Amino acid sequence: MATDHFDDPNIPDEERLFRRINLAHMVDGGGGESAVSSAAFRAPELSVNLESVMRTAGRGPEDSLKDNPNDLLTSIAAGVCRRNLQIVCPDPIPKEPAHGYVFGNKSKRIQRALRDAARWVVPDAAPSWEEIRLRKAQLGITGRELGED
Amino acid sequence: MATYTHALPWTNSLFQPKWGSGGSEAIAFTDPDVARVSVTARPEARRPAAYTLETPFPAWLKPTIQAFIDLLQLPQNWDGYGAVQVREQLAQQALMVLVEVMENDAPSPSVVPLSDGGVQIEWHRRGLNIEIEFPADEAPGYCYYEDDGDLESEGRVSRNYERIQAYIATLK
Repeated sequence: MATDHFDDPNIPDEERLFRRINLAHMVDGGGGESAVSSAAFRAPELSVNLESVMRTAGRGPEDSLKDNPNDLLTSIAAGVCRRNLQIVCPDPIPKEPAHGYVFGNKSKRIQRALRDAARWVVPDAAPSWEEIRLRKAQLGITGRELGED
Repeated sequence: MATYTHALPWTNSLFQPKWGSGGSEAIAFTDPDVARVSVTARPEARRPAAYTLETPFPAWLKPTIQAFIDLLQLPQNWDGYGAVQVREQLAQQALMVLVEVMENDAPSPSVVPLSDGGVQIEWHRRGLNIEIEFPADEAPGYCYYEDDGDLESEGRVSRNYERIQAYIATLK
């Protein structure tokens, strides 16, 4: 975990920051759609992977899921984070050289703003709630039984 | 009467659900993996009573309890980002608030973990959204917002649940 947080100007606003989404944070969005809970973007120190570092290492975005293959993957632009009063900084760790942080207090409004600005990477479009529900059931992390709304 | 499966040692909790009044029947929450929790409805008693449930119990209750049970089974670092395990006390607090605010025909909420050990319950229906969070080290809070951005409201969860109840009522 980073101890000093600074906004790194070498990270351009358009840089994509990859954030994994655990299926526990996928919820019923209504109308057959799934939604990412704002809780997925709540942590003051929000871990992300920096696309530029991954690309330099020859890694594609999906490699962010290498240790968490059941997760989904979204991206958010560094500039969006900054406009929501967040600091974007690298924080390479042995396990993940592309690791970085989106650091800052995240009010509910900011959590939602980050969530709404996030774009799907894996899968490349929002999955249906049915897909999510089935996957959750397979993994045993759903509270809703199949066929139950 | 249906028998629920229940894994939480919440036998010291006091619930006075909105749907309860008058005589009631006992419901036992059982699970092969945990000790049986027998619950006898005692509307007149202040303690002990884990659940005072009466028929017809609300449709949202079973999936919601199961969702809390599932959250409590998440391991340390369940998100791979260092999240801590969900605290039973916070799950219990969230369930107690739900019992207070939910009508029989209220839609089931989604229940999600917070990385600090808290929980969040939320609904998203027809462009209307409610989130109630129970963080580990902050007071519970709620927010209501509409997809079209016309209305947005945030506040702390207090013993006066009227506003939250009103928002949930809009979801039906």
